[in-house]
Amino acid sequence: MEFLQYFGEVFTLTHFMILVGGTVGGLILGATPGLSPTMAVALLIPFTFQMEPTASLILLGAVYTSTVAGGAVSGILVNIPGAPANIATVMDGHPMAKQGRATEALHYCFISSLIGGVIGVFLLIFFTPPLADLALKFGPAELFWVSIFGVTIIASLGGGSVIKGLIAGAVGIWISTIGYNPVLGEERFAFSEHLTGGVHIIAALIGLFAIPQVLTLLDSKTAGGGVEMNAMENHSIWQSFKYTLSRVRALTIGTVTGSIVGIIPGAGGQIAGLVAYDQTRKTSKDSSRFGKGEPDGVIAAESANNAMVGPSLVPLLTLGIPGSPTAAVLLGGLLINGLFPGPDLFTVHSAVTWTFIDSLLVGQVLMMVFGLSISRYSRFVTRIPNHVMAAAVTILAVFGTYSVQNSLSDVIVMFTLGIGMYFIAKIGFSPAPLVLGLILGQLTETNFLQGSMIADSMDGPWVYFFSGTINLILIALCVLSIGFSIYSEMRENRRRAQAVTHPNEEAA
Amino acid sequence: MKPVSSPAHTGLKHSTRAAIAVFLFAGFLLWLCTGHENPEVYLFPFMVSIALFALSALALGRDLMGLGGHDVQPVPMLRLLPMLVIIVAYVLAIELVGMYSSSLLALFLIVFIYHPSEQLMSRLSSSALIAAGFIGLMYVLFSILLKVQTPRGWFL
Amino acid sequence: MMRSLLKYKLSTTLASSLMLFSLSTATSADGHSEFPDRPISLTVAYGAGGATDFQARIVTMMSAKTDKDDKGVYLGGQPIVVINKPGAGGQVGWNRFATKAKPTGYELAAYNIPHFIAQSIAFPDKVKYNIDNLEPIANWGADPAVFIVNKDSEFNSMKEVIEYAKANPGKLTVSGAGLYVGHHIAALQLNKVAEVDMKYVPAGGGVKALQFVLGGQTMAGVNNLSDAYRSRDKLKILGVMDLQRSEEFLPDVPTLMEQGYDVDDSSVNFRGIMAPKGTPDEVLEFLAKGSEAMFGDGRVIGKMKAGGSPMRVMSRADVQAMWKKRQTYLEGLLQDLK
Repeated sequence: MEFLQYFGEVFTLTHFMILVGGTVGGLILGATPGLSPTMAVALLIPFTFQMEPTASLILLGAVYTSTVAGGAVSGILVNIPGAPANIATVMDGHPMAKQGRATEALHYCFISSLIGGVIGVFLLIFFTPPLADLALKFGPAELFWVSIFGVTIIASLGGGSVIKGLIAGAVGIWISTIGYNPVLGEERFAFSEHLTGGVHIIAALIGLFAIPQVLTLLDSKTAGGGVEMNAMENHSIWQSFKYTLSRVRALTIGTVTGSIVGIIPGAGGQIAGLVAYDQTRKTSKDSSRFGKGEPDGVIAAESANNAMVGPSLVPLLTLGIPGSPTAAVLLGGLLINGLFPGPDLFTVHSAVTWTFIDSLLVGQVLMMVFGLSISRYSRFVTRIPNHVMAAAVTILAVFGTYSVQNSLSDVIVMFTLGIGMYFIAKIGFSPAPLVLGLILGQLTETNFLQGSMIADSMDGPWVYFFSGTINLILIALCVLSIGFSIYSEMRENRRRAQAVTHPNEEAA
Repeated sequence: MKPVSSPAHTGLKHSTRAAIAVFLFAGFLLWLCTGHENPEVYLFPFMVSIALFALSALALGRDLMGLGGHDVQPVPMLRLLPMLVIIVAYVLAIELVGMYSSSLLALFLIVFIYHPSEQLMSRLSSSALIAAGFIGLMYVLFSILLKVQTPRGWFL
Repeated sequence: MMRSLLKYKLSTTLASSLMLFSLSTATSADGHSEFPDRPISLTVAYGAGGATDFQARIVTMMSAKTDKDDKGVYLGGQPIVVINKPGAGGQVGWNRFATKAKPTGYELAAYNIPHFIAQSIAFPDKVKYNIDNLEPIANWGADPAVFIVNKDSEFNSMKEVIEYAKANPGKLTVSGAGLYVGHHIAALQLNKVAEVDMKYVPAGGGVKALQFVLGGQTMAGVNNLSDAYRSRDKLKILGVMDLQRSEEFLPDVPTLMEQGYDVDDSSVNFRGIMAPKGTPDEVLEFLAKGSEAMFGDGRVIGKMKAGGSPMRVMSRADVQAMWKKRQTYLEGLLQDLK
C-alpha cells in the first residue's frame, strides 16, 4: 500500500495546478485532429525541462491520460477520431450525436474512461512484476499473431457485410505497404513523390473519416445541425452514471481487453478500443444495434482506451520498454530527470514514482470531471449549420494533417484517400476496416519478416510461429474470432430472413 | 432505395458494376506486385493482393448470383462539384499563396457557396466573419501555441 | 506570510500553466541579426521516443533561451521545433530533407553517422542524400555500440560468443536497430574480423532491438551504449565497439580490440544537426556558432548526463573532417562486404 503514502504530494498546490492544467490542456489537444497523444506528449517534453522531476512527470502523465479521452470528443461530435485509439468510439458515438444524444455519448465516454483508467492504474500499482515478465514474452511470432487477431476483427467492422469489410481491410493493409519494406528498407510502390514516405496513419485517419463527413454534410440541402434538438440533451450526469455502471459486460470486456493490449509492447492503444468494441458486439444479444448509436459501443471502446494507459507503463517503468508509442515518448520524460526504468524507480526514487502513479489516478478523476462539464456544451457544436461545419472541418483537417510532419504531401494523400472514401462509402464500404488494415499492415509485415529471419536461424518458420504457449493461445483466439464472425453473420442472416417478408428490391 | 441520379441503361445493376470495379481494382493491385527484380521486397503485399483478389472475385460472384447485394447510394455530383474544385485549388494554392491566406479563401468560399440564405449581403458578411474568426483561431492554435511552420507564399 | 507564500506559489503555477500553452516563450530577436525571425524546424529521421529524438529534443531546448552568462540568446531567440519523419532506418526523413528542404537555415535535420553515409553508399540509386548535398552544423553526441547478451545467457565473453558463432554458422542471431545503421556496421565489422556468420536481425528501433535481447528473441544484440547502460542489471555487456572504454558509464567493460577483435570506432553513432547544401555561409556560421555554444550549456549537459546519453560536442570544421573520414572508411568496408 505504499502508493497511499504519496497522495498528499499530488494535492500540493503546485502539483495540483499542474495536474489541472495538463488535464484541461490535454483534453483540448486530444480533441484537435492530428494531435495524437504521442504528439502532445512529445511536444511537452522540452517544456518540462525546467520543472522539478515530480511536476514534469505529473504534467506528462496528465496529458497522456486526457489526450486519449479528448480524442473521443471530436470523434463523437464531428466524426473525426482525434487519434487512432478513438476509431471504435466514433462508430457508435457519432451516430448517437446525430440522434441528438451527443451529451449522453460524451457522458458515457468520460465515465467509462474513468472506470477503465482507474482499473488500469491499479493493475500498474499491484501487478507490475508479473505483468512485466509477460510483456517480455512478446516477440515477433507473438506479435504476428496479435496482428492476425486484429485482422480477424476487421471482418466484423464492415458495417453489415463481412466480405466488404475484408476487402476494405485488405486494401488498407495494401496501402500500408506503400513506401518502404519495413525490414529490408527497399522502396516500393512510390508512384508519386508524395508517397515516398508511405501513407502516414494520421493523414489516413483524418482523410478517411473527416473528408467523407464533409462531403456528406454538403451533399444534401438540409441546413442547420440536422439533429433532433429536443431529444435527450438534458440527460443528467447521475442517469449516465447509473446507466454506465449497469453495462457490466461492456465495461468488463473493455477494461480487460484494454489492459491486456496495453501490456503488449508495440500493439499500443491503437487497437485496444477496436478489439474491445468487436468483442462487445459479438457477445451482444442484438449485435445489429451496433454502429447505429449503441451506448455499449462507446462504453467498451473508451474503457479499453483508458485501461490501456496504466498497463502500457508497466514494461516502461520496469524494463524501459514502452507498451505504446506514447509511452515511448514518456520514456524521454523519465530520462531527462535522471529516472532510469528499473527497480530503482520503486526504491531510490519511490517518492517521485509513486507520486506520479497517484497523480495518474487523480488525473483520471479530473479528466472525468472536466470532460463531463464540457459535455453540456456539445449542443453548440451539433447546432453548427452544416455548411459552416463542413468548411471548418476541411480547414482543421488540413492543419491537423500538415502539422504531423510539416508535409504538404500528407495533405494531398489525406484529401485523395478522403474523396475516394466518400465514393466507395456509396457502394457500401466503411472506413474503420480500412484504417485498421493500415494500422495492422505494418505490424503484421514487420513481425512476419523479422520472425522469418529469426526462424531461419532456428528450427524453421513452422516451429517458430506455431509453438509456445502464448502463440497457441493467440492462434486459438484467432480461430475463435473467425468462427464467431461466421456464426453471428449466419445468425444475423437467418433473423433478417425471418423478419423481412418482402426482400429489399435492388436499387434501380 | 431511391434510384441512382444518373440513369443506367446498360442492363447491369449498379451493385454489379460496383463489384466489377472493385474486382478490376484488386486485379490492378495484384498486377502492381508482380514482375519486380527483387520479389522478396514485394512478398507481403503480393500475399495480401492474392487474398484481396480472391475476396473481390467472391464478392462479384455473390452479386451475380443475386446474393448480398448492397444498395448503391446516389452521388449528387453537381452539388459537390464546387467543393471538389475548391479542394484541388486549395491544395495547389497553399505553397503559392501561403497556408493561412489560402485557408481563409477556401473557408470563405465553402461557406459562401453552400450558404442556405438567399440574401447576398448576409451570405457575404456571415461567410467573411466566420472565415476570419476561424482562421484566427487556427493561427493561435497552430502557429502561436504549437509553433508549426506553415508554408509561406506571397502571403502568410 | 502564509498568504504571500500562497501568492507566490500561485503565481509561479499560473506562469507555468500559461507557459504550457505557449509551449515556448520566445523572446523576439532584437534585430541585431536578420536571421532567424521565426521558429526553426529540425527533422528527426526516427520516431518520437527513440534515442535520437529524445536527445535532439534535449540539446535544442535552450535555443530560445538566454545563454549561460545571460548575455544573449543562442539562436536569435527562436525555438527549434522537432519534426519526426521516421521510416526505413532514416531513409524516409533524410530523402525528404535532401530533396525538399529549402536552404534558408529555417529547415534543419538531425544526422546520424555512420547511418546516412552507409545508406548513401549501400543504396546509391535509391537514396537521394550524401555528404555532398548536406552541410554539417555541429555535433552533439557520440554513442558507441556495445555487444550485449541476456543476463541468463550462456555467454560470458566475446570469445565464447565467437566460438559459438564459428561452430554454428548462421545460427547466432544478433539484434540491432536497423539496416545500415551503426549497429549493423558493427555487426558487419565483427563478422569480417572474426570470420564468422552471425545473423543480423533489424528490429526497427534501438529500444525494440534491446527488447529482443531482454526477451530472449535473439541470442545477442548490438545496441547503443546509453540504452544498454540503463538496462545493465538485466544484461551482460560483453564489449564496447570503440577505440577506448567508456570511462564515464562502463569503465569495466573492455573494448573489442582489447579482446583481440579488430573492431574500431567506425560504428560509433555520431549525432548532430545539418542543413541542406546551398544554405548561405553566414547563416551556416551563425547556426554553427550558436549550436556549438548551446550544446555546451551546462543545463543541456546536465540533462543529457542524467539521461545516460554520452555527449561529444564538435565544431562544424571538425564534423566536416569526420564526415569525410567516415565516407572513405565505409566505402572500403561495404565494398569488402558485398
